[in-house]
Amino acid sequence: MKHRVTFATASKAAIRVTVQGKAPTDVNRFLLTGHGDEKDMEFEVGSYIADVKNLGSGEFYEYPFRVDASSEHMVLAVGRLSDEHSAWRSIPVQQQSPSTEHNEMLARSNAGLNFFNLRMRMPHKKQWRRFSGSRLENVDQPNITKLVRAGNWSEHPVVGYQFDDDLGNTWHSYVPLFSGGTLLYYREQGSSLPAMRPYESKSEAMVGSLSHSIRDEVSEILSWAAGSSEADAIRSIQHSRDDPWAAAAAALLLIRAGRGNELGSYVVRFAQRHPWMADAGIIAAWWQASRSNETECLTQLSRAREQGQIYYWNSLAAGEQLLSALGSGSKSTPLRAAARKELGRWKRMRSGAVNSGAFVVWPSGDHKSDPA
Amino acid sequence: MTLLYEAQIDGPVTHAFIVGCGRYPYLQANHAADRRAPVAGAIALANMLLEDRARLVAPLGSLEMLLSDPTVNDGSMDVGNVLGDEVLTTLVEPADEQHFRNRGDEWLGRIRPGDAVVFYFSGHGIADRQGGAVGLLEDIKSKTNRPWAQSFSASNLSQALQTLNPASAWVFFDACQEIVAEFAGRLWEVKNIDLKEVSLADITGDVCEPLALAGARTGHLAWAPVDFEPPFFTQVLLKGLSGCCVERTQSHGWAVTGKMLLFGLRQLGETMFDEIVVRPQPILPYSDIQALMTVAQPFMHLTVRSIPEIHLTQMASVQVKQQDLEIMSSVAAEFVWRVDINLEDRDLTVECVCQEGAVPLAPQTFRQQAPSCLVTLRPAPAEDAA
Repeated sequence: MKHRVTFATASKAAIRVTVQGKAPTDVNRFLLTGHGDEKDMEFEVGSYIADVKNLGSGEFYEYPFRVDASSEHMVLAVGRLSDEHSAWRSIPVQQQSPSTEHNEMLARSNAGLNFFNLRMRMPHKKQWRRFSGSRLENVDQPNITKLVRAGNWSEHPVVGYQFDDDLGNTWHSYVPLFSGGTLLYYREQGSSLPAMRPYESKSEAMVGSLSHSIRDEVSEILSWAAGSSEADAIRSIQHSRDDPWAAAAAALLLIRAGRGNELGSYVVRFAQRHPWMADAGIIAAWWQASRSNETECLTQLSRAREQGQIYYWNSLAAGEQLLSALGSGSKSTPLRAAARKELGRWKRMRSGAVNSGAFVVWPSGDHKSDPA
Repeated sequence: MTLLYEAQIDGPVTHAFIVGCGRYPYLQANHAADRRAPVAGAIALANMLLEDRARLVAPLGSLEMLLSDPTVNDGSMDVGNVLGDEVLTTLVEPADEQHFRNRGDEWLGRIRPGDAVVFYFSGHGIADRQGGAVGLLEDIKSKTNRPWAQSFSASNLSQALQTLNPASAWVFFDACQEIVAEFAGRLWEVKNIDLKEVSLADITGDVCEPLALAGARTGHLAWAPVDFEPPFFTQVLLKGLSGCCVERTQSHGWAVTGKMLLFGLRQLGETMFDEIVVRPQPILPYSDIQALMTVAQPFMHLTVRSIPEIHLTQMASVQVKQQDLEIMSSVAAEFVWRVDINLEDRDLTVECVCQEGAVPLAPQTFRQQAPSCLVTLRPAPAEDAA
C-alpha cells in the first residue's frame, strides 16, 4: 500500500527535490517553485532521502524521512527561508574610506574580508565615477552587501568593481543592478571570489538556474518567473527597460533549452537599447542565427564585443558557439574567415576569465575595459 | 574494412567511432613522436564497449575503429584476438586523413535521431588559434604545402554531432592541447577535416548537449605511460565507465551519467594516481541528464594514504570497516592502498593494525559516495596512542 506524502515549501525560491528510496530506480525528481508550492507523491513504507537544492543560490542539503504504515498522509516542508524578512540598512559613511585619485569610492566590505572598488560610468563614456546607488548591510549576515540602484535609472550605467583574491591577484567584474537589488557575497573560506545574486527571488532563481538547473527544468522555471506562461517571460524582454539583466537571464535560459528561435525580433531592439550590455547583443545574434541570418549574426557579435561588457558566463559560451559554427559552416568564404578572426578575439578576451556563479570575473589588466 | 562490429537492433542503438593514433612518421624526425599508449587506450575502450555492450543504455549498434600503431611500419594493423571473437575483422585501418574522412562519413551516416553516439580519440593534439582542441592524424605534416590539414577540430566535431539529433552524444578527446606557434601562425586558417558542415539554424534549434571532454586543458599536456598501457585520462575514463562515475536514475537505476563523468573524472584521477594530474576540460557546455551505461553493482574507488607517508608502510594491515564488520583489508605494506568497494549508503571507517614500534594512526570515518574518496590518516593523538 502506498502512502501519500506532500512536499511543500515556504521559501520563495525555486527548489529541486530528488527523493531516493532503497531500490536503484526509486528516484523521483521534481521542482517546487515559490512560496506555498506543493507536490504530492506516493511512497511505500520505508526510509527515503530527499536531496533539496535551491536553484537560485545553489545551496544544497539532505532531508531523510521515513514513511510509516500508520501515517496515511505526511506533509514535509522543504527549502530554507531566506533573509527576506531581515532588515537592511545603509552602511554608515565612516566605514567608507576616503576617495583617492584613481578610485572615487573605495569601500571595505562590512565583513572586513575583502575590499573592493565600486564605480560606475555612463554608456559610451570612458570615465568612471562614484557609484550613485545605495549600499546596504544586514547585521544578521555580515558577509553580504546589498547594492540598490539610484532612483534615476534611465541612464543604465555600467558598474564595475575590483577586488583582490587570497593570492593577491586583482580581478574585476561588472555588477548587474537588478531591479530589486543585488547581493554581493563574501565567503570567509573557500572561494575568494565574491558571488553576486539578485535579491528578488524570481530573478535569483532565473540567474541561478543558468548554473544550477538542467535543461528539462528551464520551461517550468521561466513559467513561474513570468507569472503565467513562458510567452510572458519572452515578452519581459520586450519590456526590459526596468531590468535588462533579468531579461537577459531569461533569454539565456531559453537559448540553453534549445528554443532561441522563440525569442522573437524584439531581442534585436533589446540589443539596440542596451549596447553597453554585450549579453543583449549575443542574445540577438542567437536569434539571428536561428533564422540563418549569418551576416547579421556576426555583426551583432562583433558589435557586442566592441561596445558592451559581458556579464553572464553563458553569454560567452553562446557567442563562441555561434562563431565556431560560423567559422566552419558558413557558405560564404569571407564570412567564414571573418568569423574565425572574431572567434580568435573572443578567445583572447576570455583568456584568464573565470566564472563566479553565473557571472564572468575578469583578470584586471588583461581586458579592454579593465576598470583599473 | 574497419567496421569491427555491427548489430541489427530495433530501436535506438549506440554508434561508436574509436581512433587511436600513435604512429607519426612525419611529425618529428626519427619517429620521435611515436607512442604506443594511444593504441592501447583505443583498444581498451573498444574492448569495454564490446564486452559490456549490453550495459549501454542504447545497445551497441556499430563500432568503427582506426589504429596507427608505431610497431607496425605502415598500413593496417592486425589486432588479433584482443577484441574477442565477435568482431567482423581483426584488420584495422590506419588513423590517417583518408580513412578518418571515409570511416567518419560512414559512421555519421549510420546515426539516426534518437541513437547514442560515442567518439574517442587518443593521440597527439594541439590547440588551434581559437584555443580549441585539435587532434592530429598519422599523416600530419606529410604534405609540404598543407602540413596541418591532416587533423580535425574536436569542438567542431562535437557541434556537428549535436546537429544529428542523437539522444545523447559522448566525445572523449585524450590528447595534449599544446600551443604550437607553427600552427597558430598560419596566415590562413588551417582547413582541416570537418566531417559535417553545420548551419547556424542547426545549432540554435533543440539539439542535444554532447558531453565532450578533453583529457587536458587548453595549453596543457596530456600524459601517458611509456609502455603499452592506455593514457592516464583514458585509464580514469575506463574506471569511471566501469562503475564508479555513477548516480541513480529513474529509468536505468545505477548508471554512468554525463554529470558524473563531467564532475567525477578529475576527482577519480586524483585518487588513482600519485604524481599524475588528470584535469579534464569540457569542450562544450553540458547541463543535461543523460546516461551512457547501466551499472549492476556500482563501486567507489578508495585511496588511503598517511602523513607522513612512511607510517602507512609500517602498519600490519589497513582495514575498511562498517561499524565492527570488516569489509576489506590490505595485504601488503605500501605507501598508498587503493581498493574498490561496493557503493552503498553507509559510513565506513579506515583503521590500521599497528606493528610493534610503529606510530599508531588515528582511524577515519567517511561517507561512501561516487566516484572516489581519498583518506589521509594522521598519527593518533598521544592519549589515544597510549
